[in-house]
Amino acid sequence: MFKKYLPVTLFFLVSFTTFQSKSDFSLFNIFNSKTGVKMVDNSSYQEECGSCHFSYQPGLLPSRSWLKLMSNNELSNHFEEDITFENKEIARKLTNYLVKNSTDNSNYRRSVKINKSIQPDKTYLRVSKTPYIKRKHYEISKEVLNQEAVGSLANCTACHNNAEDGDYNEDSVTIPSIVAGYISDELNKKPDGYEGNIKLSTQPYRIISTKVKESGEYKKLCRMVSFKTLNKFKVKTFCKYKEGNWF
Amino acid sequence: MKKQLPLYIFTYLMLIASGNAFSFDFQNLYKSWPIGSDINPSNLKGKDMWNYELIPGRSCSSCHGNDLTKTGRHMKTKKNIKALAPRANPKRLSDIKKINKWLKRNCKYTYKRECTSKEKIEFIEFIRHY
Repeated sequence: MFKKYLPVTLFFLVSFTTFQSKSDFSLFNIFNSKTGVKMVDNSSYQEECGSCHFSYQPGLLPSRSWLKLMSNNELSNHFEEDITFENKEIARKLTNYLVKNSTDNSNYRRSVKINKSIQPDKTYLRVSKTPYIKRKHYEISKEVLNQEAVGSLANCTACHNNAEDGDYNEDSVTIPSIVAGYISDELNKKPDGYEGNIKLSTQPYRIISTKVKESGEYKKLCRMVSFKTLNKFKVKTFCKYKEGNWF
Repeated sequence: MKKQLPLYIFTYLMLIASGNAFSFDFQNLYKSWPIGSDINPSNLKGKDMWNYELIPGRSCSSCHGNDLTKTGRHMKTKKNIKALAPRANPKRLSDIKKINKWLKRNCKYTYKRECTSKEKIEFIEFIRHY
């Protein structure tokens, strides 16, 4: 009775299997490949390249980008700084580490996605300029980026709370609040009941309460602040994770 | 007492040895820098030197802050920089290679040239005794 469905089913199964082998994240390797990008596991890289800025994982750029970045020409003008290595051996080892774990040599899912987005004739030196990253951040306003807590798209850890672990999932993103940024010192130090003025607008505010909220393994500190505007009060809650920004 | 004497002597010697391991020879470091150069060194000292902006907005304090016992922040990347004063961060000024590396790099960034020995000594003395 169901014999008539056999050809269609067979056709579906064959084409499904064929397409699976063509895709990057087919059922075949969905259990093998890991999400995000590979964590930095090189202490020399962490030390040499993570002192002044976030230690961008090698799996965020293709090997040709890293090779260019580590060339003498580029090292002497590394975003306006001369970081030429005295010890060439260290530089060589770092380059090897970077190339070995770059997007074109990684099967971590986000690295693969980044790699796919870059045209073969383009060699970006900034992670934030790759088409994939640009696309992911296009909704973020200049105002949010320019605030003191962030600065630019190069500052991943400002919003990506798990960036150090190579996890850039939107689940763990908290965008710093510009208003909270104005009063972050007070939020960090002053007790409940503190009254002050936001310098720029001379708007009066009062810290009302403080609470620690826990969800799973994440603990955040939250403070309620009331802002006075003319004849109204606006209440906002700002939270922060340990070592994070108020969002 | 007689039986334990060697142990006491051994312990005493170990203490002396370990004491030396932790003491950093600043005079040797200062001597390792070439004396004299054609560049006119800045004659500022202490806080003035620390806050001096050859390039507007770019001084030592721009990244390391005015209080060396507190965590600083890189002015461009916003990355936190651990306290520079050895009394707040014991690891500071304990590695000759690191001192030379960062003096070279940061002088080039702030002064657009390497610092003279006189300037370097001034910086290290300032940080050391902060």
